[in-house]
Amino acid sequence: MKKIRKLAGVLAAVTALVLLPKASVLPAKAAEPVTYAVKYVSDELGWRFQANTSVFDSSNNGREMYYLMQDIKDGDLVVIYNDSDNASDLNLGNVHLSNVTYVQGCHFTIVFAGGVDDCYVLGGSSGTMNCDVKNAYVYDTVTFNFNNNVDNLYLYAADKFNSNLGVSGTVGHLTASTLPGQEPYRVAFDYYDFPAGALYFKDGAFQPTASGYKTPEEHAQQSPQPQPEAPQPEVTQTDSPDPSDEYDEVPKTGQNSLYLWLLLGAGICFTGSFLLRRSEG
Amino acid sequence: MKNIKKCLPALLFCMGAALLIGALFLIFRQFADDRSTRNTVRELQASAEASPESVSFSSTPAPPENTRAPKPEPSASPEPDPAPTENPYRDSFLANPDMAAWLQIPDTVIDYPVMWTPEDENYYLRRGFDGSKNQNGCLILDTDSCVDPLTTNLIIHGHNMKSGAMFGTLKKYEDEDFFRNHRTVILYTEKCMRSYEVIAVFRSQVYKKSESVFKYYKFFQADTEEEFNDFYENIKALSLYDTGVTAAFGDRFLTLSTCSYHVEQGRLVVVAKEVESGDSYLPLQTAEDGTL
Repeated sequence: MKKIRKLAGVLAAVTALVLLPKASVLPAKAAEPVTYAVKYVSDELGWRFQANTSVFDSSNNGREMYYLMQDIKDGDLVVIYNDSDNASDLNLGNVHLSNVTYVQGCHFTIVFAGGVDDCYVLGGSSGTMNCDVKNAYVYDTVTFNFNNNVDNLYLYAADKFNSNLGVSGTVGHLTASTLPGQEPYRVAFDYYDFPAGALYFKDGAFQPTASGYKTPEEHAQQSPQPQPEAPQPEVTQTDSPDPSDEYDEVPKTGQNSLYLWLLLGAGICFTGSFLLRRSEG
Repeated sequence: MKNIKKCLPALLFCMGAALLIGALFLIFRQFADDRSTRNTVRELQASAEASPESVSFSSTPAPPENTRAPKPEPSASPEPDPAPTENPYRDSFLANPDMAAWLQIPDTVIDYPVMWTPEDENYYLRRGFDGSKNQNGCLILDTDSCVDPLTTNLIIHGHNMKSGAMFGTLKKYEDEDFFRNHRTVILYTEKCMRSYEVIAVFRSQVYKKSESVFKYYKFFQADTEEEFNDFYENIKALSLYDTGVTAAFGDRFLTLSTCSYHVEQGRLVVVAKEVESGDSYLPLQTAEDGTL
């Protein structure tokens, strides 16, 4: 009798799984972060990428970006190479990347992404970053603009700052210092709470375009308050799904296979019924 | 508890019977739809074959492998265009004004009317030529495509039916040998016949709106060479095999798209390049009193 119960239970579970196709799909867990080296290839007039490496091997042109756009996911890392002055924008979609690095001497590159945890701008680079950044690390002399908010901005230089640098959004904390580990360690600037568009360096000179940022003392004295933010598109909380997650509208040209599922369900029900009757008999 | 145990086999049997009846109903309906589609299309084909100007490509031999038809040498005095002839699908065009063209792939079952309803793209997705409910539906010309004036790319969607109806046999193009024997696609529009040669066959999918990837179903009009090249290079890169057919800015495409099950929202796509315009047709005219 126990065997029959078990069998009936298994049959019922199988029936449920068969009749609820969605239930039989086990979602795959997120994969490990992947590092992509991307480079603007002038001969191809476009960006190309190589996966699982931080160094772009110039002996081959790499793959086209739409393959990357199919695979890239939150948490991935992107290293940017560009030796062209005519590079098109690098649009990495809406993913939140854990690391974006502009390599040394990277020519002017405009990057779009959904967000970045750590953004490294190495010496001699130029470009813009169009998303919120948690931690930005800027080395030596660069020409760069962060077009959204930056939580922490760290500027490093061995001797003197010569960068042209701006942030269009807010900056939570700015530190400008000598390189970590360098002796003697010196801090040139240490400020907090820049309003949107206030932080600006011209040829290394700190030229705030608005007042309102705070010294460490003022920051320490101030009780926590909500921070003003750069203009962001309004987000309304609704139950409807995010439109960006919807599929494009293309006619659905598949054949309905409902009858196959019904036949399978019928077969399982008949088998279960037959086995139960036989065990009773 | 005992009563439940006694009833359980009967309950399962009843459930099974209900499911079986449902499945049989769906199968029967599909058979009926298949027959209805076959009959309707046969009638329309018969009408076209009866036309004195009808052109049949069914006996057109496929070009030999890896050879291209030599281009005609330009002559000093160009030959005058042949006089317009009567459209072989005139009756079909007049029977339903939603019909935009007739698609034919010689020596295959793909020989169907193509419907175009800009106000509701999916109207004929589950409707027959006469507008009645039919699971096979009709071939649909994408609402952003247009035959007059002709857009750079015409996209035709069709169901991937297990019976082989509509675009159910399109997957045969995944086999290169099949392509070599069926490289020509003919489109009869209201004004002329257009001949295409398959240039790329690839698998793709419908992507999410937020995804920035190559979307073949978004390309309709190339106003610049860059737009054209973007589409052309992508389809050539994705193609399952090298067709040996090339294209240049100014060429026009015909894209056939149907569902495929290699991924969620998968699509199998066959792209053909226009190689020549055939006969031009006389305007579709009706008698003054409206009778045909």
